Amino acid sequence: MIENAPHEQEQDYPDACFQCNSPDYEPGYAVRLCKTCRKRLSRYPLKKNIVLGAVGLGILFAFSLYRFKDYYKAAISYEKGISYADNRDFVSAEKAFKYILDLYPQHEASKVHLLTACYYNNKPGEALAIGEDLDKNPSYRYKDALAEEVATIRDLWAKNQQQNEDLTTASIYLRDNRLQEADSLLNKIARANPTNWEASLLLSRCLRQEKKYAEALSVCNHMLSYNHQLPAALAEKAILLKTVK
Amino acid sequence: MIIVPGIYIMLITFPGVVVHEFAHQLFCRIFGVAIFEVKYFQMANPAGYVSHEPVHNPVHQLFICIGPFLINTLLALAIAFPAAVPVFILGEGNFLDFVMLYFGFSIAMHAFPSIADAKIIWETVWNGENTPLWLKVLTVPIVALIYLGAAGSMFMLNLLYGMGIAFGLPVLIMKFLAHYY
Repeated sequence: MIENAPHEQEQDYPDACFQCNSPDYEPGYAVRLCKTCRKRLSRYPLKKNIVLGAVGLGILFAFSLYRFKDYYKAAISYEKGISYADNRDFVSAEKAFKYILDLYPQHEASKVHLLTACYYNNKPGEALAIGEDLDKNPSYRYKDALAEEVATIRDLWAKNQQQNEDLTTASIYLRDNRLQEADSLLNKIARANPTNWEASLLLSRCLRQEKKYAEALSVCNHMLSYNHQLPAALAEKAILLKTVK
Repeated sequence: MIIVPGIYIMLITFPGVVVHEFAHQLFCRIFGVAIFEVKYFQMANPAGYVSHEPVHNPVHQLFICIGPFLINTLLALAIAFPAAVPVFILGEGNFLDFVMLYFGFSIAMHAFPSIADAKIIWETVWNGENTPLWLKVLTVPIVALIYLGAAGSMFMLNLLYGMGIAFGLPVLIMKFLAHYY
């Protein structure tokens, strides 16, 4: 920005508006201009190419804004989903990531986070289907954080699979009312893998049947410390609290 | 390290220079200050300028000088916001989004008033005969900030500011909205 005042010698008539020579110039200004000339000069015209550029940018902006409505909803949902997952509210997180995938079915980060949410919500079937879908186009592997998240869930899943035999045995013990043996085996499984929800739920049921309510409650709380909204754990805890009352 | 000469940076980010000069022009128009010449962009130093009459009211001078900071920042944020959300939050950006981010970044990068602007504020407001004391007091930190900004621009502060407004702020706003909305 440059301040510029015409010199006296530049003005044809030193005591008049230097644009139109009208004697009716506005007093108190460094440059002698009448009101009309000052207004006209203050409205310096924009060049045609600047106006065209602005119109072009305006059109692009309008198009960008038009698409933004869905992006806005998805981004809010994504941020909320991440926040829910960080706070271990995986049912809410699952809902948020499913909403994004309804809008953008190929959004890989949401798929990966949904895989985690489904695992923690004890929905192995859905988690497996998402895992298979991710493997069809495994570009998430180029993003370290996502690849690490998938690997973690797959490790936990593999641990669960390895414990299936023991879990089946414990279920048979529980069915046959061999509570002490079931209790001992389920405790072993749950300690080795605290995210084996089936084992922890069976353990809580077993302890409830043994009337070890405090221990059963502790198992439920332990499960809920991994997922504050795990429906089966909340239901089991409700049954326990009702029984204790 | 490759050092890109300033004039080429100006050329690459010329939309910001154009908007900067337009902002000076807009405030001149708002306050009825006569304009003699506007150069929106040129391959020289300065890359753009608005030549206007000395102002009557020192407050008008302040607004004419800091106008680009307000207009460039707000316009850059508005342009970059709808593009930054899909790119930086969802990782779903397309070509249009990157074009809009370029415009947002280049406009925000040229938000800082120049040293010439600071000198004019100082001469008009601080040395002005009719300037009220509160305005003189307000002028000191503004001029100091402009000089700091100009000094920082030697170390790419304007580049960081452009990135912050166009790329960082939309993400922060979305995180805030997601938390409280």
